[in-house]
Amino acid sequence: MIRSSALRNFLAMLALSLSWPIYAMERIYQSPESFIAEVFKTNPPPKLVWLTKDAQAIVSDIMGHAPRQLRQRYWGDDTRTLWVLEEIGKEELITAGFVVHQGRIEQAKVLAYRESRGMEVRYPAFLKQFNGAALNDGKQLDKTIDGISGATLSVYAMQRMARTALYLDQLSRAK
Amino acid sequence: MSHTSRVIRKWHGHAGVAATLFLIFLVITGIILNHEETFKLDQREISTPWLMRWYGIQAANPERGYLMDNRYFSWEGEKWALGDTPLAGNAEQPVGAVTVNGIHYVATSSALYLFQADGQLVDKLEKQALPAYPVLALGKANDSVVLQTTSGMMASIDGLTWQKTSTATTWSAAQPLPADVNRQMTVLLAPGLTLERILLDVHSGRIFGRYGPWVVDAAAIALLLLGISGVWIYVRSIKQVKQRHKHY
Repeated sequence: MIRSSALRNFLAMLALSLSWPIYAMERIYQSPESFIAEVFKTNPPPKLVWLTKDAQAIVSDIMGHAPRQLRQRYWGDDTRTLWVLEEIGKEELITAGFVVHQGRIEQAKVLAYRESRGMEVRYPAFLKQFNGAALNDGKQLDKTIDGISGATLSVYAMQRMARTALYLDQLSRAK
Repeated sequence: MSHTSRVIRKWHGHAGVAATLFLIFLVITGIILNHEETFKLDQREISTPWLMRWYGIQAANPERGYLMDNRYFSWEGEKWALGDTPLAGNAEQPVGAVTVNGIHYVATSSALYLFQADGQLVDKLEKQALPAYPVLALGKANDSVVLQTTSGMMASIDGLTWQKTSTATTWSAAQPLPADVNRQMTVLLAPGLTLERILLDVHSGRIFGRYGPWVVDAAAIALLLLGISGVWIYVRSIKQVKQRHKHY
């Protein structure tokens, strides 16, 4: 009796899982405002970096497409800057926050994930790899980021955003 | 050769010829789909009218828009356009659009978009980045853009810093599109499907209607039978060769 009931449940779950279409779903792990407050312990006003033609060309080179917007808001104090960026993994936008300290990433965090798969990029074990990464002369990260099987495009998107955050940090300090 | 062997060989040949076209179709669409990122299939949109009719997707018919700097801003679904320029839009319905200091502001209930005259997105402020939301209306007062929200009127000169205001404001209002603009917007805002979706539907047979997948299933089973009969013929031929060797 128990067996037939368990079998029925299993078959019902299997049928449900096979018939359930895979939809992209927005998963919000933390709001940008909460992340900013967590990092700075206050609510600093946003600052702006405008992308000049040259900067647009470099961001295009990093991202593989034209920048989504021409002015980028960021938050910062004397030593650190915080960037909230968005990039498409496969089809949907990933929102991630990066804290940059003296030209190196201090913290990376996935704030919202909207792809149907690949959300393993939000795990701290993966994100910790970005800690300490800086940009080399070729605008690449100076350390290797190990990929995740089945989340390759999301991993690439995170790397592109990390490089962009580091470049934007350089721009903000050059002002 | 036995009668069974002759029949199987004959049907194997017929089925092979018939299945070749299907196989070519499956292989080509399958290979292309396997490299969708290389071919950027998800970024290429097809909005050919006959194909949209085939899918049962209604053509766009934008009837209203906001006049901004002598150009109309209009929308349909998640597509937005300003004059003849498509904009990076949003599925939310706009609640207002104004031009202040050369920047085109478009508001939805939970976001404010800033565009340059060439359609390039300058910035997008969403929810908590706004001084308050939902946004009920968008207007302008002197050099400021003004949001009407449930928490009152908020004004800004740059879309970054906001302050409460009670200044007399000209609120934007959607108006009927002139016939020529409606025709232009109908083309610009035509609904479309990504090439990836269309190829997936072709590959699975779904594009041919509710029986399409069954036809593809039947063809796939025919291919399976072709493989099985091919193995059977191969094994038989090996056995026959061995028997001939025994006789000699």
